[in-house]
Amino acid sequence: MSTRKILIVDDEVELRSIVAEALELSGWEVLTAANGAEALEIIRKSSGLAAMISDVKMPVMDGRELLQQIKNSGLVIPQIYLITGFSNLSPREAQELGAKELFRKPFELLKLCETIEADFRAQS
Amino acid sequence: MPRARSERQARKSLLRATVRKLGGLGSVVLLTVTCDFLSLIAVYTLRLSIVGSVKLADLIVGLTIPTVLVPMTSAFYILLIRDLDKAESDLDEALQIAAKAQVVARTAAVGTMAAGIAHEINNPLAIIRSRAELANTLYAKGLLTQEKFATFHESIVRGCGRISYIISGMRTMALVDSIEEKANLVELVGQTSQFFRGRAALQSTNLTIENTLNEIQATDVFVNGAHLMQALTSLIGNAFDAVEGQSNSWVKIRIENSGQFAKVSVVNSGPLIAESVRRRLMEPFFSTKPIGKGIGLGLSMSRSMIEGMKGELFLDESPSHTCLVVHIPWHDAASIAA
Repeated sequence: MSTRKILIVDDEVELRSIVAEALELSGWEVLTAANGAEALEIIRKSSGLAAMISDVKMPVMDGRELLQQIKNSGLVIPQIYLITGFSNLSPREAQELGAKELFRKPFELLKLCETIEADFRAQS
Repeated sequence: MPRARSERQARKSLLRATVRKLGGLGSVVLLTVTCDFLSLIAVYTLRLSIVGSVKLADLIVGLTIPTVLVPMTSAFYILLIRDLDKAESDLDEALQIAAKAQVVARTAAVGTMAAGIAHEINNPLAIIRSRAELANTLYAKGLLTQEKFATFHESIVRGCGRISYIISGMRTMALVDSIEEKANLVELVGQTSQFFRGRAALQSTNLTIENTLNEIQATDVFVNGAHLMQALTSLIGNAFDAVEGQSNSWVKIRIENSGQFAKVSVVNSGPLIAESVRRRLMEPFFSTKPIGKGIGLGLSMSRSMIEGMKGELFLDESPSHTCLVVHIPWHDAASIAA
C-alpha cells in the first residue's frame, strides 16, 4: 500500500502552499516543486509517491512535458491530477497523458481534496 | 458604418477640392501623411497596387495612369491625378482595406491582452477561492487562529488587487474613442506589461521596468492611453517574440526623461535586427514572422498612433541590443524643464 505522500507542482507559490496546507490537514505528507523539471528530480529521488497534482502552464518544463517524461521514463505515480488555467488541454488529452482528472482554475479546493482522498481509498 | 462612411465622404471631398484648387485633372498633389494611420495605409495600399507596373521615370512624366502615388520621403507622397473618378474609387477601396486592416491589428492586440488577462486573473481567483474554502474548513475544525485569519485576509485582498489592476488596464485599452489627456505614464506602462507577466514566466524571460522619472514627471505626459497601450503591447510582444527560445533572455522597459519628451525604450536580449530588415521595419504589411504569427501592421500602426499624439516611435540603432523608442510629449513641458 502507498503512503499518503503527494507532490504538488505549480509555479504560483501561494496556490501551491494553500493546496499543500489543505492536504496536510487531512494527513498527507506534501512535497512541492515549482516546475516540471524540479518535479521530475523529486520523483526520481523519492519513493512511495501516491499522488501528484500538477499545473499545466509552467516555466522551464510544463505539465504536458512532465507527464510525458514520467510515462517515457517508466516512473509510476498511481494518482496524477492536472490543473489548468487557460491552456487548450482537453480532459481526454489529460487522460491520455496519464492524468486521472483535469481541474480548471479557479477549481474547488474541497472537491480536489475529496477526489484525491476517494481515489486513494479505492487504490488501497 | 455611418462614421466610416462620413470619413470616406470627407476624404473624397478633400480630394476633389484639392484637385480643383490646383487646376483640375493632371495636377500633382502633395499629400502629407504623418500621423493618421488610416491615410497612411490608404496611401500605401494605393502605392502597392500601382508601383509594380510603372517605373519612377514614367510617373514623373505622368502620362499613362489615372492615379499614382510616389513616396518622396516617409512623410510625403505625390498623388498624380489623371482621372478623378478612378482616383476616388481607388481611394474608396483603399479606405475599406485600411478599415479592415485596422480591425485585424486591433484584434491581434486584444488577443494578446486576452491571453494575458486570462492567465493573470485565473491564478489570483484560484487563490481567493481556495483561501475561502480553506478558511471554512479550518473554522469548522476550530483551527482558524487570529494569525491565520489575518494571513488569509491579506492574501484575499492582495488577490483582488491583482485582478483590479488587470481590469483597470483592460478598461484603458478598450476605450476605442479615448482622447489625449494628462496621464500617468508609469502606470500605463505597468498595466501594459501586466499582460505579459504570464508569457514572461512561461518562456523564462526576465521582464523588468526601470523608471527614472520622478512622480511629477510620471504623471505629466499628454497621451491617448488606449493608443499608447496598444502600441506598447505591440512593441513588448515583438520583443518577446525576438527572444523566444533564447536562454537567459530578457525584455527591459526603461522610462526616462529625455528633455523634450518622456522616453520609453523597449529593449530585448535577442539578436540585432539585420540592416535589410531595419530599413523596412516601419513599413505596413512588412513582417519577418512566420505566416499566422503577424501581418506586419503592429509597428506601422503603433508609429501612426504615437505620431497621432505628437510623439515619435523609432529604432535606436546605437545600443548593442535591439531597442525601440517611444517619445511621448509632456503635458506641461515648461514645468518639467524647470
